[in-house]
Amino acid sequence: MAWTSPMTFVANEVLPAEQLNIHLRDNLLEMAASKATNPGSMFVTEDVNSIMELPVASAVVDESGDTSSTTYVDIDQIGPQVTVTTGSYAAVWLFAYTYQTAGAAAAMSYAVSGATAIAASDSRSFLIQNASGQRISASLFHDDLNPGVNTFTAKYRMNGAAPDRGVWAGRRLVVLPL
Amino acid sequence: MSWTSPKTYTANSTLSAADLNTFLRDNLLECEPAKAQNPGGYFVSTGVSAIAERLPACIFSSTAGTLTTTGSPFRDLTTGGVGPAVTVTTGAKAIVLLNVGMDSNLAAGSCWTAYGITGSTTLAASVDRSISARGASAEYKGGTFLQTGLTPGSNTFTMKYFAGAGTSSCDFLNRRIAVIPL
Repeated sequence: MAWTSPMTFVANEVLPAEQLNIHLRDNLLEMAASKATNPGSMFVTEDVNSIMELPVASAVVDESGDTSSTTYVDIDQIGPQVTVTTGSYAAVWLFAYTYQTAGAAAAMSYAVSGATAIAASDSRSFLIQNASGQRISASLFHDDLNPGVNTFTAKYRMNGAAPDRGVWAGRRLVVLPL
Repeated sequence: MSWTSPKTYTANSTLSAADLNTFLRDNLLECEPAKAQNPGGYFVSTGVSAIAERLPACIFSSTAGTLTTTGSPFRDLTTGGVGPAVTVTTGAKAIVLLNVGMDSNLAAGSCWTAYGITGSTTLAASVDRSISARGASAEYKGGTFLQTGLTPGSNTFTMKYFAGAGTSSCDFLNRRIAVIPL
């Protein structure tokens, strides 16, 4: 069933069950109240005259991990990682406490897999150089996703060669799909 | 047309075409499926018993920019182009996301990124809605802000920059702004 633009009713015309089923029953089934299943979800446009429910998702990895890699890699306790159904848009937030055991900067980004393939990149990251440690975040947004199931996985790198080593803890990734 | 609070029907009363048009047709046309036009849009309240579809926008500039004018106010870059900027239809609020790399030419220098608003609303960039970095090594950071007090309508959000004390120039890299209008 799908949405049908509601008819205009005319005085003294018979109102058949078929019309009530199309214009009342089926249209009500296309509305947010009918599609609501997951508390905390939002309703977004899937297509013209069609909406869908999309939940906000997040993941946390509290354990620390480290690397000296200068290219984006996984670290111990892979992630955090979030798998969500999205349209073309999504807002993504990264958070972590990070410090470096030597002089170079440490970065956290994320890769997208599933319906969309996007590699981790400094253009969607935070990157910080602070031996004392900082809690820091990145605020990103996509308008280039392929609609469907997309997985967002945090990745990490150092901005200098070994023995420079970065440590990340209290890692969070939040995705708001649209 | 607008939303009308649905009537309560009573036994043996006549169901008129006028009632069906008001309480069924017109009310359905005020609901989400009728207003859904743009994939990725979402629905917000615009007033009592009224909703609208809003569409987010984002833009990214990979062009490195430099600001060689120091001190307030926030301004456009000296090189690297204005902005970037996005224009969206908003209500009185919007969520603004910034992410950018920044570095100073001097270790003690600070570099700042914010956004200004033009269009239905005029609001200058401010440290209250900014992110910053200090030092000569590039740092990438993000910030998310709930902007209130907007005049509903078409509003343009433009990234603006500030080279603070202790520096003579700042570089700005991978500049990204996104707006989720409410």
